[in-house]
Amino acid sequence: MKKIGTINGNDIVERDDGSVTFSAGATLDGDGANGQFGQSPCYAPPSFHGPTLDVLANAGHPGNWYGVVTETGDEKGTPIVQKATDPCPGAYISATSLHLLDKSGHPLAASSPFKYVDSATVPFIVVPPIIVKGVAGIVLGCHCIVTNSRNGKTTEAVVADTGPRNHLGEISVACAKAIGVPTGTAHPANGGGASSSTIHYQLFPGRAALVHGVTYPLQHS
Amino acid sequence: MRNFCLLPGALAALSLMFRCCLFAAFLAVPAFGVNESNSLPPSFACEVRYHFREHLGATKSGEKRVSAPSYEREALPVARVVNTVSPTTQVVEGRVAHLPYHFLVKVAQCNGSETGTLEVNIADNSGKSLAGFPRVIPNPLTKTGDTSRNEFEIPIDQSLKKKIEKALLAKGQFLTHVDLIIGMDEDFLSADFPK
Repeated sequence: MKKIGTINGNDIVERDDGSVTFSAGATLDGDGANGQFGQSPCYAPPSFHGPTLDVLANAGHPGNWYGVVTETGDEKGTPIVQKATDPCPGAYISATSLHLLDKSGHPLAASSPFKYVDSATVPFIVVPPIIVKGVAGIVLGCHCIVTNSRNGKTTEAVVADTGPRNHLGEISVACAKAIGVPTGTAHPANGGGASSSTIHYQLFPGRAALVHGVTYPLQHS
Repeated sequence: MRNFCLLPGALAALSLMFRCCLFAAFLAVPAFGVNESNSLPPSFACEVRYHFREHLGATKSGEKRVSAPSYEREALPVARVVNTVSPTTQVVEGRVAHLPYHFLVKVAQCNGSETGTLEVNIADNSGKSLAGFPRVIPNPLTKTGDTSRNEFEIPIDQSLKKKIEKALLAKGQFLTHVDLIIGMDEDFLSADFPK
């Protein structure tokens, strides 16, 4: 066993079998939800009719769009709005650190809503850079098991996003629902979460996640 | 003869006990009735969330440049009962360290069968309510499920944003918004807060 680090009093441990474990609360991450599978997108302009997973302030504002994909690929650009042929016309496109591939195994365009992991339907977790960079195996795309010790509910998940360096414990909206973590009312990703260190995470770096019959790509970072 | 003399005393004691029990039962029945008709609204808690993201540093072209959103939290004081007659009301009132605002949140329940109301007011130091407040809505909160939390965005100007970033956030992190979360679920009520 090797301690990789400690964040907010919670130890991150790499076990002899290569898996990584820690306990923490659970902040909710709506990023990557673009209506890929018919559920709500994470972000949309005010003109959009329908619910969104998160408040638009978490995506940015004109001149500084940090949370959505823009036409220029940087914060100063204009956000790309999904077209009639896209899964959620009128919504913005939000990104995850993990990028999905097309059916042939080739990278998708940055403007494709399907390039990112859907927070609304896919149980995924978010880890700080210390884990991504601190273990031997590839972390992004790897398999993990998330358990809520408050109710015993557990789910398989994929590591799909990177969080701030000083925060531990973050999950997708779908993961929260799967293990019974409360979500927000107006915006599920904004008001929800588990505040106490009652969520147990076990990651298997280097082992591609298989969740709901879908195998996710392992991605170097 | 001695036993014979004790018997009336024992009977008197038994009779007294019986009457005491009857009296206690008489008192208990209306007491239960009062509790049911004036049942307290479920307890609730409030916290302020300072939402932020972090620049991820050196990234390659096409990689995500900011972290997933996260937040720092500050708790408001615990709820207290202010009314013992109908409508029963629980109140959270107070301040947090990093905002120059006064919070007042009331959950009132008319009786066991009605939803009651949720009243939220956020005022500045002069006592003036912030834009959009006070707000009074039918209480949407429940103890479990997807309606156990409710969020209210708190307006923050650039100057206050900078102060919060300096006081609360680490290097490379930036504030995206601030909101008040009101919750009734078990996790929210038993939340740990950093000291």
